[in-house]
Amino acid sequence: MTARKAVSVGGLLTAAALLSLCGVSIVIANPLLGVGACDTTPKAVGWPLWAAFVSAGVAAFCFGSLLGHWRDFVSELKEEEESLGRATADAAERIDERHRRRARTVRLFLAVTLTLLTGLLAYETWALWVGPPWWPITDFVRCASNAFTWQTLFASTALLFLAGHWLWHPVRRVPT
Amino acid sequence: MSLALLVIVVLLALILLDVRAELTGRRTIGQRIQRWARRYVVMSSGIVLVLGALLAHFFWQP
Repeated sequence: MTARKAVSVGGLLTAAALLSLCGVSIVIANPLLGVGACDTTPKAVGWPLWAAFVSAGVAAFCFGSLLGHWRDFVSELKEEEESLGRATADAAERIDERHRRRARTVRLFLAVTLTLLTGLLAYETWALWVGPPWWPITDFVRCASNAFTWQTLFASTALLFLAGHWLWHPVRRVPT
Repeated sequence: MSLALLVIVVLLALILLDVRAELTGRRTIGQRIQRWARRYVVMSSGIVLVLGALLAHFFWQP
């Protein structure tokens, strides 16, 4: 295993460990969460915790992006070279079909994710509009950040690490 | 809480697939998403912007 691969896998597994910790914590602590832990309109975490959330999030995003820049792209470049006609006609056709199938899967995943995000934002808007007893997502998250501060910090940090790693892409040359 | 668990499970599945692809030398989830992000820069930047704005809205209250 190359150093690049080891660092990439290490970063991803750290994010997975943080998310698993949050998941386990939610499952274990959920029955113990009393209604008293959250007011009718929960406030955001106060100083200095909000600074910890923001700085950890920014640091995780930058670290994820840095790791994305450093990641080993040899396998991807090889696949792209193959698809550019350097393989035989049959192999190129098989690769094209495989690429189309995978591209469809990625598009489907992105479409589902974006639809889910749009739905959640629509719910947020609607809940803010109608008010109680409907809680907007902001209140749920703020409730969680008050009741499970460290778990929420870990989850938001891991989320921003993944956003930086996957979406803040490196600018690099692709063979044409 | 169920929604939070669902998000965590989906992210964990993506990370595990990414690690598996990385170890077996296949194109990883990260590379696939990055390829999409390179092609649609405005959209991927928009997602990052929305995500950042949401997290700041949730936690930042000086």
